Amino acid sequence: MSCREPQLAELLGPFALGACDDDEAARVRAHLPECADCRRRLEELEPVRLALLEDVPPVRPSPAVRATLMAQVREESDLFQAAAAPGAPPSAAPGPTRGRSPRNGRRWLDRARRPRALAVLAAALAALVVAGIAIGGGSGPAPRSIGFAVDRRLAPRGSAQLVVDGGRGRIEVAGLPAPAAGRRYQVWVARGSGRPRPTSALFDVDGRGDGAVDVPGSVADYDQVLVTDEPAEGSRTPTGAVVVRGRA
Amino acid sequence: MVAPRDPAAAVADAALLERVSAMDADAFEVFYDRHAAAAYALAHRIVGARPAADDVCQEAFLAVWRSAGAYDRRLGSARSWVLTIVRNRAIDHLRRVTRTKEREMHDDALDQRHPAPPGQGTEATALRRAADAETREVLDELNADQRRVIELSFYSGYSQSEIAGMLELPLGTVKARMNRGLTRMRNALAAGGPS
Repeated sequence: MSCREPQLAELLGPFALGACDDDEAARVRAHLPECADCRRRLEELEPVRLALLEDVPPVRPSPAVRATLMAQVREESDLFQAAAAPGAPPSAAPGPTRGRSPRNGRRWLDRARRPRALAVLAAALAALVVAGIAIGGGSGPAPRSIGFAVDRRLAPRGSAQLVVDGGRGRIEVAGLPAPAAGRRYQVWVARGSGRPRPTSALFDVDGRGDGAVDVPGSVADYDQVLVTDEPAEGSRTPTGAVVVRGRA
Repeated sequence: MVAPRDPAAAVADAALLERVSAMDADAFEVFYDRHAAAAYALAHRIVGARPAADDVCQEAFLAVWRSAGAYDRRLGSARSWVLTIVRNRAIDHLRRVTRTKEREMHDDALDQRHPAPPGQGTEATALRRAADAETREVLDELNADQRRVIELSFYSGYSQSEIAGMLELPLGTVKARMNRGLTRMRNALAAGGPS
């Protein structure tokens, strides 16, 4: 059966080449499910599109591209695998509503159980911007404040710091967006190359985006702190974006 | 002593992507090594400069890392999926650059990135032909006019209307050249490859 909308059929070539404007492309996409003839014609053009994609002598990118890419990938992988590993759930609440099995970095996961939010979290990791540097002194009993990184896409005017006093840490934030209904900010900690662990530290922010929470345990037990947007009862698996991150 | 091979190296692309979707960095590394050269070459051809191609390549593979779960093997090979991502990112990059006040300057550079078709006697054309000799040369199936229209479309991201304006041709002429060129390439590939 031939296409009843020849003007759309004429767009198949440009569509295959990516040469349609947004309006044309939308019309073709809407048309394809209802026109077997156009689907077939588009399939016939697929080898051409693939040939054009590869009609270039291969050239390897610089080693720096690989090194930078893999460093970021491994960092994000470690974060997610850490959150999936056995660990203490937040004590402020019964823990996750979605049960998850322990697993390691090489184990295949059930794709259906991987929340879409993980991709968002990963994207947020990439956009972290260092917001400040240590403010206070580095030794002695006096409290010291350490500037933390804030994801500028999520909190353009946000700031965060870890205040260390008497061997214990306290996260103080300003200008952070309020989490959606039913969600709160949660603190995660990590030490060395170990995987981040969820903590019971959950907090909200006021109308100005200000908030604070004590980080459980001694600062000697961790050297990295993250804050993510999680279900109100807390989670042992990251499900939301990393908003704040820094080294203690 | 021979180090044991990474078992992932023997895994098919689709299975690798499934592992990547589970945040398996080792699987991603294998996938990257397998396709980086083709991806980078495509990015470089489109954006025309190594630093920009580096950025595009890195950005595209990060997208692969973060959205591998979206890959659907029913819609094509993993290689075409990643190369399509590279192509789209590279075109986005070009549009960000060229659709600013620098557009006119950049248009001049188009002639260097996409040199005149064979027969017009430029040094760039000779270099390009030498490079293309190692490829499937599907574009060599086309006459000069068809090739130019399809290159401007596929490797520079111009719409048919934009190409018509750029080349000072009636829109119908651009459409006809594009469609005839696509038909020739399709027939050549169906017959077993470029002649």
